[in-house]
Amino acid sequence: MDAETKLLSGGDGAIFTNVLNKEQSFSNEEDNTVNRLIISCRNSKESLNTLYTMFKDSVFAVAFGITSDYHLAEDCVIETFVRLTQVKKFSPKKGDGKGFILTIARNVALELRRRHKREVSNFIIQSYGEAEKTVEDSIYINQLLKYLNEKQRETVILHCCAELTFRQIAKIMKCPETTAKSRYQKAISILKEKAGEQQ
Amino acid sequence: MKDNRINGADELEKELRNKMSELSSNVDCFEKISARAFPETDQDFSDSELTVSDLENVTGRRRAVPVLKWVSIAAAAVVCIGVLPRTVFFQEFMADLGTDSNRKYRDMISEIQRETEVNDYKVYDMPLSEYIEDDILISPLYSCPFEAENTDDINVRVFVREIEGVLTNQIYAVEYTGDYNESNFLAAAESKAKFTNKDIEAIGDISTEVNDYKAYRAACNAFTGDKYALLVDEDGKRATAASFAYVHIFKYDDVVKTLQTQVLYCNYDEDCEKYYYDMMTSCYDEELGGLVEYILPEADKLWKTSLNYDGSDAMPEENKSAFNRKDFFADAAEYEDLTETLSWYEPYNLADEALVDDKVQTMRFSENSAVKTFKTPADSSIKAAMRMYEPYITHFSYDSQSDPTIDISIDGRDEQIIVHSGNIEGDFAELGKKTEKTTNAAEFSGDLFAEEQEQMQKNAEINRQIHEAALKSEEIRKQEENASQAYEQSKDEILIINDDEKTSQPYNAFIFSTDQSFVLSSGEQE
Repeated sequence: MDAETKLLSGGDGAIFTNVLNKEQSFSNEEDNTVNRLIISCRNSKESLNTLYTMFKDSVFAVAFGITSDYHLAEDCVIETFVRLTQVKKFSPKKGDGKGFILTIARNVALELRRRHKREVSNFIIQSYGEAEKTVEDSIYINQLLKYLNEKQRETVILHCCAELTFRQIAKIMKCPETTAKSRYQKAISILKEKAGEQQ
Repeated sequence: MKDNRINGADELEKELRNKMSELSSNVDCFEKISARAFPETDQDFSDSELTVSDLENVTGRRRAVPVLKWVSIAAAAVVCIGVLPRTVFFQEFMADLGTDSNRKYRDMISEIQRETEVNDYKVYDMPLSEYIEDDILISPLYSCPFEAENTDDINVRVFVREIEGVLTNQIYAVEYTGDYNESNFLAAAESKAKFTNKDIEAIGDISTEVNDYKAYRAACNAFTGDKYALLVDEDGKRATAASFAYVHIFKYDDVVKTLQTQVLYCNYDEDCEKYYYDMMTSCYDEELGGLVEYILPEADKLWKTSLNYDGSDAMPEENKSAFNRKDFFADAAEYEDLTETLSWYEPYNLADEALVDDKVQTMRFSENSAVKTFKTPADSSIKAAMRMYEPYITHFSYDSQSDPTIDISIDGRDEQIIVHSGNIEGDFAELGKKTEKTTNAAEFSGDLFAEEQEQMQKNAEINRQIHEAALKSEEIRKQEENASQAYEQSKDEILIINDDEKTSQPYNAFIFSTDQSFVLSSGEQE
């Protein structure tokens, strides 16, 4: 570095660090593919099938996190992808495809839950799937998450199962990023505490 | 439910993810989806270029390939490249990546804990909102590396490494909620600069003497006193201004230098929340044998990384500081012949030791019934050397019975700093002090040379003129205050008489008519 005898130029500059690495560039490419598929799924069964294969698990997780019911969650999955084919306003250049799909899933789940008048605190499954494993897994997850409030539950599901960042979660749940982070932290500490008590 | 396998957040997350994955694997409803989304539609799934239509094309001319065919090919490519790998080893791949990001965060936390135990660090602890707004007062070279819209109960702890008691640019920051312990950490950041033992050995002797002169000259160029002896800028806007300077050790691109940074900052009475600042850095040049200006690297090149708890990027996209850069130092050459019309005092040099802590404090000044606020640097050493500027005649208007006081708010409690005339520094301030000393000497010895007598008379005359000017401005200020109070009083006694709806009411002194003209009258009116 050289010390220069000239005036220090003034001016504001935002301080940021652009951490561009392999996982981000891969993620950007994936986002573009998803966005293109969302546009094309209106007319293409193949595109819809691709999106279904990619996001079925995340959509189901979000739906189950809200409804706590296997069958309702399955209905949510169907409704979410059907609605995706009817979307008119989505910009492939600016949109976050995954976030968009999960936002639809969340809204559908909330609607279905309201329609079926299930209460958040009621974790009793009213209709069981035929397979015992389904029932067992449903009960296990509900028991695991029963000490969390609605928002904490959603945040944990979106982060763990749908693998969203806090920024994406904040956008879907319409809250500040720090709130999403602190909710998640609190939820995990509750789960750890309860898991420790039960051992 | 008992489950001995659950032990720690990572395992919890993994368990939840696995169970949910098992549950969702039972879901197979694409047929239902497509039946609803594409009712009575016969899609062409063929990926062959030869269709029945083509075979029947007796002219031999190829038809335009249907769009759907290309969409099918693209979808197949996506399935082969994007979907199959995902279902086979993509989950493991993403899990590995996720672990890698998380590991970087955990490594950073370990480094912070290790560093702060082994080396000397100055620690500043404050609400996140404060660090975002007042970054210049806490770490002048670095902005807050965390973003937040809702900052309730979110704090930041900033660690600045010291070498032989001198601040450096090796800095860490931790964002946390509640109490400071690892389970409450939300994010962490680290600087690029890391000092090795070799760097420290190469530093040599460090002179901690600071030189505020450039900041003082810049202040004299930017501010002056108005007729009320209040500080104003070149546009006549009333302001409060201060400067501070400090020595620090700076490392960039493996080169280590000892630098001096001077900061001049101000706010305006019309909006005390917004601040303007400029910064000038210099270093000693051995060849030239003096201080030369040093251009700092761009601010965005000083932080190495800022990561959230989950390993994602936490660096804010926008700087939301209350401090805006302004060119106070830019035109240094223009004020070579400047008359230094400002005096200064160092409030924290006069303050009780208990007031000089490592936090940003808010000073409150009362002026013409209005209260102004002004924030201080966080660091205790920098705070102690901080200068507040005022027009040189301001303090002459006070007598020793009424020295101005500055109210300080520290963690909710109210303190005071008293500024005596004798504490004022600057050329004009010195005149008063010299006159006093000379008079005492004359009285004591009774024997002065004629030149000294003449000089004494001149100084006394200047002093008298200054004092008269100060008294005059004080008078003007009091007159304005009285006028303001009279107006306030008269407002209570005013009855508004509407031209259309005249009512019979007693009134006292002033009447406003609807055309806003001002009429002095008394008695009753219908």
